[in-house]
Amino acid sequence: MDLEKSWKAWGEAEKLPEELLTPASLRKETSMNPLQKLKRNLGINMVFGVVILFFYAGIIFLSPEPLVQIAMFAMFLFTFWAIFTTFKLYRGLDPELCFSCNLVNEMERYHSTILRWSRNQEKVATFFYPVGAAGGFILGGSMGAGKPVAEIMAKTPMQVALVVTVIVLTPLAWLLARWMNRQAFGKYIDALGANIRALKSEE
Amino acid sequence: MNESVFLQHIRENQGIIYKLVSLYARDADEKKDLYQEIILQAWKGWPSFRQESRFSTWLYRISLNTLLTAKRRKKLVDYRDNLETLPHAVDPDAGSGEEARRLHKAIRALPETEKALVSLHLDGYGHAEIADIVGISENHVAVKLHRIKTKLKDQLNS
Repeated sequence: MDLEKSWKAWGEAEKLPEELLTPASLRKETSMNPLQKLKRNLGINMVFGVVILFFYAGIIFLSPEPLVQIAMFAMFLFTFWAIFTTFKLYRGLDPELCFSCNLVNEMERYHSTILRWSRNQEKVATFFYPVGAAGGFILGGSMGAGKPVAEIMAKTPMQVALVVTVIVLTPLAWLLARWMNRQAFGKYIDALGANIRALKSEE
Repeated sequence: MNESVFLQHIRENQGIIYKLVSLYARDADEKKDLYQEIILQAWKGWPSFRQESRFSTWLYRISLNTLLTAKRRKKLVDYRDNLETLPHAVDPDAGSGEEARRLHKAIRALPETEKALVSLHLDGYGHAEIADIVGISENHVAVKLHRIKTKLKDQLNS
């Protein structure tokens, strides 16, 4: 078989759907580019983060309990850090396809960008969920018992329960974030990595 | 840079998009999504297109970059498909339609990166051009193409 001749014979007469070759179709902005979706999600994360910051600020000013204010201030600082790192990633993320780059470089860029995003998500989740849960534990205990936080936390069982909660939740939160990232981009990252290795291998 | 000039270039080179997408897409829906994505990406890049290279080469680069960075459907793609949709793609005046179909099926079954390399080669690109588009050395291109062509011939002759 003459490969070149057979290849030329196949598909030469085919046309793309005409509705894709109109000026109107060029004005549609719905791209499948995963980096664009990622950038959009980062933007949404930051907006939610800012809303949460205002929430924490409200509690800090309105709560009469110093311990609650301190805890909320810690959460405020941490959330601010999370928004800041997300913003750095957002600003550095170029979601557009590179029109002059070669295939390997472009795949590597997508691969490293999504890995950076995954690490950012895992880092934020590892601290965010356990600290948030601990805060909820304290506030919930205080409100449920109808007693001030200081009085609730003065009891040894409550202190032990709080420490155990944080110790157990921290790795669980990391595993949960890692699992969610794998669900979102696991196969994609694996395929990109395999294709990059295949092209760069000397065989 | 107006739309009609761009679309005219696309029409003249639509065979590139058709052939490449047909190697990678799982089904008709994904084909349409990928056609649209490639045309959209080419349109975005159109203002930066310099006349130093041929439009076809530039479009090939964008098509491959789009196809291999697109986030595909969750289900693993099985390229061992049937040939029902293929007869329409064969130029009846070009000789052996059956051979063209068998070649298409064999290329579709290759790994994604090998499809890219062999389609560039079969479309007449030299090793230097392929190396530039793909981002590997000319030597690697030669070695890989030799292996891919051997694999294809073994498959087609069996």
